[in-house]
Amino acid sequence: MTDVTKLGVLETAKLIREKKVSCEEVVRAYIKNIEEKIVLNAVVEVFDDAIDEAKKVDERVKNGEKLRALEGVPMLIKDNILITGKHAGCASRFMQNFVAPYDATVIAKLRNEGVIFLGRTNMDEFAMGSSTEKSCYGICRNALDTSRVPGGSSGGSASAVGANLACASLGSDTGGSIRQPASYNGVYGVKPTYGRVSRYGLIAFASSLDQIGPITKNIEDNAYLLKVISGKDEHDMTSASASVDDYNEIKSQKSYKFGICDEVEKQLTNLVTKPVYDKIIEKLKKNGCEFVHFSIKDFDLCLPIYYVLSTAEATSNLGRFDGVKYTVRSERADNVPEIYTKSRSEGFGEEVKRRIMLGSYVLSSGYYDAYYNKAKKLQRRLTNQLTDAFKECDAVLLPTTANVAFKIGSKGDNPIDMYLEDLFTTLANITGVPSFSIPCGKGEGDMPLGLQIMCNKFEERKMYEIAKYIEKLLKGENV
Amino acid sequence: MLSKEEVKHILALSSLEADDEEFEVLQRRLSQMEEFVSQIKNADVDEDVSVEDAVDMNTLREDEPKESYPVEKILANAPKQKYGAFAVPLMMEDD
Repeated sequence: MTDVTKLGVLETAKLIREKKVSCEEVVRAYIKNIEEKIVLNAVVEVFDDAIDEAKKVDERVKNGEKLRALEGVPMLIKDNILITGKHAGCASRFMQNFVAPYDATVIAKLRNEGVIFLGRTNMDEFAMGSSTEKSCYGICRNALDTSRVPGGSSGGSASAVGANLACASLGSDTGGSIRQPASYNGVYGVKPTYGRVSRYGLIAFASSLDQIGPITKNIEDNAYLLKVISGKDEHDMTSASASVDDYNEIKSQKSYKFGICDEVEKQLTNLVTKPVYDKIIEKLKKNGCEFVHFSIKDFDLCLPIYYVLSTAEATSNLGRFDGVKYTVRSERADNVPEIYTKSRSEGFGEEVKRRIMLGSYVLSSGYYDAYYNKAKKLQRRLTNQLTDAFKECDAVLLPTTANVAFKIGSKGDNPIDMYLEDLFTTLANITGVPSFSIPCGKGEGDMPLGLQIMCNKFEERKMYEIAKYIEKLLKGENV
Repeated sequence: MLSKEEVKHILALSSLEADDEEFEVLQRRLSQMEEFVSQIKNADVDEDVSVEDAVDMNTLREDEPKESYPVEKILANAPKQKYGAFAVPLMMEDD
């Protein structure tokens, strides 16, 4: 019998259905991996009811009951997504006592399909970071090299899938927090179209940019899971009513037309990883794919725009953490204003405090127009420019990151060094389009690199088809 | 670099406080962030560009009363609760 922990979501469900392996065996195998790879610190809690849930699945199999599509598939969930009765901590000591009173919509949907929730994964505090070094649970490590970061903020979710600690996981992506760690750990991560997936039960960072998405071991699993978690939700008024395609019948065309952004290409010329991307483009051209160039004049402003918009929204969203309703209350507080100020000052980590402060600043009287309003206008212009580009091409290709995963502790005192990690990823969040990061080659230290396939809004189906097409080409298979 | 007064003002707006040591770090790093985002100030944007959400989706549901989560369940996460409510120190005393 092959190692079941190497298998993905759909393969595992099939094996359980065909009685080739018991669900309990699968869950125990993953728990063993989690224990053996404890050094990664990717999983912050293994749920004590996971094995009981697995036994129930095995009962259903034994009794010949009708099994659901993902019956018995163990998944890990980022620490900012609510599962009824489980702790959700956002990797913050401020939230150390919080127990979720309800299921996030994505959790309810996965539960309906029979998924087993194996545990919670490590992350940067309140999803603010690109390395999972800023967590109250301690730093998380890369699945492929423990001296390197797993990326972030969904570092635990990506490292766990890369190290076979679950069939798949869920992460959240506000500026690259699924795609960058997926790239760093050699796995598949998608930031869906804004509105595709309900955010109900996701502890909000920046509500107009946040999306939940799956991190998986292959393209098919990713497409399948996205289909399961997508759809209109009465609990999230920004969830889209757009129909959810059946992404899992992935049939590619003979060739595609790709867009290359001149400003991205200019950034690429400075990168040591450029040859990896050149090779992919070369292969696609040889296979009859066309390339068109377009310009996004404001591309170099993506990061500043992102930091204005995301911190402005964070300052508002994080206002609810006040030491009254669910976070830890300071023992030094004697009156109500002190409860707010002292609890928040003791509870939030330094990065979170700074982002709340920048958000307060850009929204404050006298600065609102110069920062927030300006960023909103630039967001509109960027979106129009990218939408125009999609009139001429099927997808835009760009690297996920500038380089491979960096060494733990190597980013200096200046927070901007870390922010530059999201150079190629924030565009999709600012404009709301879907973007899928797939492994596409290796860089320094034989570490993986990711390629982003970005399509127009609600074109996830095409995005997965193209991902499959590119992956086949890279593997030397016929397309 | 943001001045001490500016940082103090922003801390107050954020319902945060900092001791001297932390203040120094916050001031330095927040200034670096401010400098970084201030790049957008020079970008030239037409005044008539819409600032509505580029995402264009924000549909409200019908305003119909529905059952919500039970009070006990929501209060279970409160650091202090009393009489079925969040408890905070007395704000006004009887005279």
